[in-house]
Amino acid sequence: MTTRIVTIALNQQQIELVDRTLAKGVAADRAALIKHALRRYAARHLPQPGGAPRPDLVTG
Amino acid sequence: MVRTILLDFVLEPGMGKALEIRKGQILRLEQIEGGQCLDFNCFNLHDYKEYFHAGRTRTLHGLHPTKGDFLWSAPPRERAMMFIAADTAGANDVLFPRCSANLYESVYGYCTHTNCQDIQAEAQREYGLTPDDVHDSFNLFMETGVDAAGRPYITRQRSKPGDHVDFLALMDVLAVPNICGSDVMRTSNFSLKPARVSVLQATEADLAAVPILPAWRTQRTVADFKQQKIKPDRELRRDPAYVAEFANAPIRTTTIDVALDEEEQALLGQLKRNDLYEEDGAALRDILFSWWEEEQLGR
Repeated sequence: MTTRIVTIALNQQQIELVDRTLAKGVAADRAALIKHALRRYAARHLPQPGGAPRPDLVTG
Repeated sequence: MVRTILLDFVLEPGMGKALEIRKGQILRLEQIEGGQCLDFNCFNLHDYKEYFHAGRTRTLHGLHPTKGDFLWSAPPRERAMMFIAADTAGANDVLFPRCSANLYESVYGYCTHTNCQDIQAEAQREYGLTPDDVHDSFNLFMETGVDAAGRPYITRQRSKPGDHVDFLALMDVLAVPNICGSDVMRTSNFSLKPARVSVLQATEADLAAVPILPAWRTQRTVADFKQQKIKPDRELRRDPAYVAEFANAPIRTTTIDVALDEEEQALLGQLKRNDLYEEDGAALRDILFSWWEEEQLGR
């Protein structure tokens, strides 16, 4: 599987919010949280095959 | 339990009145004939620099606050000053500013005309406040909206005799209601009429009906201010000892490398706002905080 690095710039205030969210146990680290956000946001906003959101993206 | 009437009088057209309303008292503004707009403002009785803020109230409760909503003070205080305990007409406005002398001169050609700015100023002068201390008002019995082009409008109103709004004071306030001075606009259906003003002692049931609000550290008081003295003169002069102390400045940026697999790359490609962002990192940041808003704030 080909991976690609996307670099995201966050200021210290944005980092604080990310870290407070991490402290709730949402993800293991900042990069993992960003990937989690991407998948969850996509599950809500992109049309899914068959018209229903993918269950693996909307749970957990 | 019956509310005790502490004060009751008729406010005549062209006039306003500054009233000390203590915490736990209710100010009732009531239609006598119906169809009369009133403007209203309030100040912290013990610190006039804390005052009702239409913008803050509009942000939290929309353009037409009603029963169950609060009147909020301006930043950096941002405290609930009064609670709307009753509203029988449901026609309040926090979109329009108070009308002014200049409005009636520039549009209608009057040298002198009743207007809410000047009536408010004259009423609050009893407490040493100046015309510059009048702030945008809470407008009662005022039918307003925004048209399809985004322009605000005022139309005729339907309030009836006996319609009233009850403001329950959550702190000691100087409350200043006035009869809106507009008789050549639709605001009060082209006439000026008196209104009844009452001050009532809230009952335990009234007080129990006020939702409990959280207290925030950012609801600042004078003790939090770096500059605590109120400037006594009008001329502005630079303080040579001033050293800027902006919070969190300088803003520093950290970069985070995120390894996206092929599926995630495809998701980003579909979600990316190409109209806003050239770089994938900026698009991914947008997605991160958009998700956060939805997840944490329910937006």
